[in-house]
Amino acid sequence: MTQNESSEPPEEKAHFTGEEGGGERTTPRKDLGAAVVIGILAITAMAFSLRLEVPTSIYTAPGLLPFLTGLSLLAMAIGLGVGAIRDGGSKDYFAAARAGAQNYLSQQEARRTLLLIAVLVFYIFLAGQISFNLRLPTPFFVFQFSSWEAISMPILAAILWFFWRAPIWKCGLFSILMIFFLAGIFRYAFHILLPAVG
Amino acid sequence: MLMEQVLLALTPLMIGTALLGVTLGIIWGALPGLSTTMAMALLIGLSTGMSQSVAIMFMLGVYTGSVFGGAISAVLINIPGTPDAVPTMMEGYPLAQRGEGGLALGTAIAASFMGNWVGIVLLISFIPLLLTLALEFRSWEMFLLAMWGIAISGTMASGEKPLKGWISGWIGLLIAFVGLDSIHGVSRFTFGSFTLDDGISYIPLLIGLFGLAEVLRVLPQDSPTGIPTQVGRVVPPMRTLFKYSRAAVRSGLIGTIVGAIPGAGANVASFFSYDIGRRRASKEEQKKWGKGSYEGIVCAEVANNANIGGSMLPTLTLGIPGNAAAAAILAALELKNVVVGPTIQTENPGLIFFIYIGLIIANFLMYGMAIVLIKPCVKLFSLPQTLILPMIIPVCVIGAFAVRLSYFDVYLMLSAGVAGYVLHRFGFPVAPMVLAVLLGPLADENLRRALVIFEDKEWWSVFTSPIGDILILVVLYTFYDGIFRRRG
Amino acid sequence: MEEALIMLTKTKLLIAASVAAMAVTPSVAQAEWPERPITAVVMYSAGGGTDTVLRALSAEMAKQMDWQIDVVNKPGAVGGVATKFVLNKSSDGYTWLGAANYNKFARVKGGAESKSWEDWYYMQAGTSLASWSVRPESPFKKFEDVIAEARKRPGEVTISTSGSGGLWHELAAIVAQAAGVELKYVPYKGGKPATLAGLNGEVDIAGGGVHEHIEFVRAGKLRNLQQTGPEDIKLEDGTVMPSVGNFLPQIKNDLPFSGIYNIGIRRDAPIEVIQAVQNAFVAAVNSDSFKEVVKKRKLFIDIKLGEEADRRAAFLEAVTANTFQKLNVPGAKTPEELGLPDPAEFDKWWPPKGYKPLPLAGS
Repeated sequence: MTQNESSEPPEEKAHFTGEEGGGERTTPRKDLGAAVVIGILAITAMAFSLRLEVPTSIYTAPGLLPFLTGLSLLAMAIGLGVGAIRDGGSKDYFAAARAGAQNYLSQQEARRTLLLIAVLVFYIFLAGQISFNLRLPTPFFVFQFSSWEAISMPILAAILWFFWRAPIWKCGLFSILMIFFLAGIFRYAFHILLPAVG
Repeated sequence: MLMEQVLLALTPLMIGTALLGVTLGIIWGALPGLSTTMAMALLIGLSTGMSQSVAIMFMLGVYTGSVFGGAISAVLINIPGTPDAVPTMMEGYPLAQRGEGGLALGTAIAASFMGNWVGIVLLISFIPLLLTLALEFRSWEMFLLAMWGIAISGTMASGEKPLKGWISGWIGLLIAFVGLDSIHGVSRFTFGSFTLDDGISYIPLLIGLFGLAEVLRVLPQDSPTGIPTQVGRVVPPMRTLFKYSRAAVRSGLIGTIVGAIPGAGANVASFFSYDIGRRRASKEEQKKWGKGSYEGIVCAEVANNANIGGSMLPTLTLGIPGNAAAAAILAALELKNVVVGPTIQTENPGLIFFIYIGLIIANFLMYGMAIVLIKPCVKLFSLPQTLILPMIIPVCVIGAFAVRLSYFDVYLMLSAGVAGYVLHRFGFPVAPMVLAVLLGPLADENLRRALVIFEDKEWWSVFTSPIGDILILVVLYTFYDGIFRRRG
Repeated sequence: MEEALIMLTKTKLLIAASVAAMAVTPSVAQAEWPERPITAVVMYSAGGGTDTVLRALSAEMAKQMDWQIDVVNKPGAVGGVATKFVLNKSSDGYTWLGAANYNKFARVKGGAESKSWEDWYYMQAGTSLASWSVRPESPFKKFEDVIAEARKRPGEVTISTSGSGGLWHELAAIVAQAAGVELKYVPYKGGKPATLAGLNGEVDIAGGGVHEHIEFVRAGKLRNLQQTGPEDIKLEDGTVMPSVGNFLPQIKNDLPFSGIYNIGIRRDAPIEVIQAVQNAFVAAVNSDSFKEVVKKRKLFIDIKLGEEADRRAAFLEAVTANTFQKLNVPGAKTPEELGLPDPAEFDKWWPPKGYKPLPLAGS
């Protein structure tokens, strides 16, 4: 029963319509958890805004609006939390939350999402750390090849290979074409520097 | 003089330039992660290599094309190509899933065409009136206008409680506060980082929240729900437009006026028009809202295109740009040593006419090219989602980076993408957050500035502005309406 | 030679890909410098005053020398972002800093550590003047009216600025201090919104640059009260933009107070490269087409090079640090922290220990 509530059967998502919120089913427990996190965020924001200096009067203080925003966000978080508790969100909260999390992790889709996030974090971190730009003069123009392209190509190919499930040479070809196309627009048409080079 | 400019604008070179600009603009706008603002900013540098007329024509073409282009990816893959296409996405994507993607895009084309006309006609015929109105928006009125937009965020939570929309919006506001405060220059929530001093740019945030988050959400699914290959007819249904003619005219007015107010851009225009549209729609139509309403598409697309004409108004009459895209055109003119200001008519006679005609030409070409490009676009986006979505990842990276050439923005985009995915799992809509991030700085800066100005005056002087008073009532009503009258 | 082919920027992970096979060109690179495009990093956003002038200047340099110069904008932290960006690049002279005011705000307020006169070499191309203007219906007919009113209501007469702790804020404050009055500075996001605030009457006085006001003065939409040049500016129709020296004779000798357009290059770049850039710079500033750009905007050509420029950089930073200390600008470093003297003591202080002028010809 609790398991059903805190997870979404895959077929539910297939009927996703409209913008966020309309499709994803939430439960009072999720709302309660969200309310707690948002409440903490609001209190943190209020605490930090109180610490800002007040150069002139209180009405023009830099922290005034962030404080009021934090305060009203706290009120809204309480409203969300109270509503969630009224709908039974606090019943066996921790057991249900654990079950919900386990249920989430047991879905193949969720594991794939986490894997994808991990790959993206690795990709973006790597592209931010490594930096070189080769310039190979050809008779017609100076061909350039930067670290961003070198890193993006294999990673995009790998993502394609994993999700698209096409032969590896096809994934490689598509990724090379895409990255050269993109890099070409920014480098040769707009004359701007590519990521990582700086 | 007018004839001279018409003839100059109608040469094959000019038409060809406009056509190229419009085409590239539509494609650019349709690519998730590449926005109108960025295209225009990048074009400033590029325009130095062109002659003045070619540069203007090209930029007007890209401007007109990319504002429409955002609708294509919004409808077909649920990722808005540009911020102002968010409302179009909310209505168009459900339609595409029902197999009416073609008709939805056709409606968007017709609405954009119509919106451009409204903007151009109002620009040409009501310059003094609109300018007076736009100049009435001082800091206090700008604050209230932004506040109204923020209040709307609650009602953008289609299907969910307004409370969740507002929470999402309020989190956006807190994000918007990060950086140097614009009145005293105090660092807020920056934790000593000079990178954060410049604030969090909304473009990487938008790319993350919509682009990357959608990739994270859809790509890992067992059988990603793409749009049906049957998208139906793509001929712009002028009849639909006539059916919603009242909404169209209203949205055109909203779009033009918002455009004419310096500081508020196409994104604000389409959000406002969309929200007002929902309130004014018939009971029957309101039920469809958020689940695929053609009237909703009309409201959003007419408004963001009418915004183009509106944004040119303060640009051409005062030399003060109506939005970021108009600022880019101004900059390109500056680089051609044309000083745009109140004396433009005497200093550069004819330039204004040339721009009017350029807008009209760009509009016709946009209409034609949109129809031509829709079919291939639909074909492209009907490729397996498992191929399309990974391809979007590097566009998101480069799009986030290119605005400020800052790799920090790429990390920001990644974080926003993950956050967008989590928010979605918890049933929080992200559109309000984007709206709040756009409007938060406007609200904060203008309120604080208004308070600096009101500081030494009596408290009631706050109520001496008629526009301000109207806006106060509108904001209060929006909150009241959201809290006490739930809408399904 | 590899240095020229590979741009190694960050030191964390260096990928030293060897492309020595490509290096067929002789190693005496200076003879044909530059071998690849130059990037000029402008520290303000595209389309602004600084950007326009520097783009025009670099376009002229590119044209005269047949170089390729790509201009990019990296605004933020009053120049600090662009400064750090260029410092992270190799000091081979291929990356320039498009700066204003000798980048004086970056160290005072933008978190940059480098000194303009020890780590950089800034060449000055031209200047812009500060201006105060009002709407035609304003009760302030002359500069004296503002002073009288500000004496009556200290800190209540409002003037718009292009940003808190920005150039026009500083210059307005210097004039007000000289007149012995206190104004209320209302910051806007840039010069154009600040001018607009004067036009729509939100503030009593529009603050900004002469180049930002002049079109409105010509059109009769604004009336100029003062500008910070040493002489009056007469427009074609006879309208006069009076010099502030007429009203405050005590500062007459210090005029002009101005905004400055610079191109900066790393001081540790090869001296031959700096010399080549300087030669191109001088030729471009003196070209007719650049003069036209400057004249149209009521800006002024004023070339400063070599030790004179270094000295000016240090002096302006000292003035700014002292003014900001008096204005209580949040986050600004004090002159003591920066090791800068009081402007009155500057002549005794210069040259500071460790300063070495560059051995350049023609400065």
